[in-house]
Amino acid sequence: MQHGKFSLAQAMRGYRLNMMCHALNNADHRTAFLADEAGFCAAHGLDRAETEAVLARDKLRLHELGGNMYYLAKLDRVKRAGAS
Amino acid sequence: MAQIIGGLGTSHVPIIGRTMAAGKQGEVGFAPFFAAFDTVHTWLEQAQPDVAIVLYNDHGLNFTLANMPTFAVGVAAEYHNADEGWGPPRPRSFRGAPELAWHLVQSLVADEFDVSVCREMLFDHAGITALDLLYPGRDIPVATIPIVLNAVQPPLPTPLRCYKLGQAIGRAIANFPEGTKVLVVGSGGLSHELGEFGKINEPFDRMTMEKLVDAPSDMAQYTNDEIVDLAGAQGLELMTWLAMRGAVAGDVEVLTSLYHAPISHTGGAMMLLQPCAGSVV
Repeated sequence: MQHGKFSLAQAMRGYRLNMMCHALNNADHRTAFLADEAGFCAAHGLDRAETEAVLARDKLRLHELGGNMYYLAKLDRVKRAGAS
Repeated sequence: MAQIIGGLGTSHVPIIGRTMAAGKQGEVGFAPFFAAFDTVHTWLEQAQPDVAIVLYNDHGLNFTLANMPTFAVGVAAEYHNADEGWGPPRPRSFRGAPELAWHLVQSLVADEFDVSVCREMLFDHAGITALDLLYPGRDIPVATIPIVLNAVQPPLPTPLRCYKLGQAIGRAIANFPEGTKVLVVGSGGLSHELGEFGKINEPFDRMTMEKLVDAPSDMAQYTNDEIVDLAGAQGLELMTWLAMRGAVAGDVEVLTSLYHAPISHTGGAMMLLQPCAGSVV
């Protein structure tokens, strides 16, 4: 797979992961995420592989799991952006 | 009749906005990028546009993968910025241009561009940065019509489709019965890829800027995947420039143009175009 190109598997795989990242636009959600990352992932329906990749900030794995760069950028910044 | 008086292409990478917010335009390594806007500011003083149509890609602010329009046009009377996941910004509001925007969406749909019509839309930094470059350090004096192109999640509109959308925008403006002066802005690019996969292709970027002036339909022949290979996944944002050039139809004069790489992890660029008087559209 290559970033920016259509991949059916990626599109189907990455939806929940990207929506979890989108939730980090909200400062209250960032607070909840930083307090309990695994719990936040579970609440957004992420499976074990997705949750482990998020906790490890394993970028290659996150991309393999369908993460979109525009959304993963929010996970990248979650600590700097700060909580509520 | 309304008239397109100019077209601007610009990068929007967040460091540009942060540098302006800190007032450090003269101190950064890419200071020439800001200096190039001096010509734009002088031109704006004379040209006095009423409306800026800003073509850009949303960065996961207003649109999520739950609903991802290919093209979306804002028809609101007012727009606001919001937290994009970088921390809450200073709240700002931007005046819309609902009459022209409704005319635009009616005209586009009649012209077979089935755009999403947005009564509300959070205004992404991609659009705001472009307006701040035009009017640094002040409230934005022009009304705005945001137009979002999906450059985020494939399947994407083709470069040719974006170019044709721009041409349809140009036709719509020409048919608006008021004497509104319109500046069309394409905000994005040029070559880059987010994350750890940085990719700048200066020869391709420079060729893009030349072709956009003299042979835009050549640029429109690239496929999305070819652009990804040449300019990186986020190089696709150059489609906003192509749409801008479609709107500013016919022969154009380049009033100022600058390429500076890198700005952050991108091929940074700006360009101000003005339609040639009497050019055949």
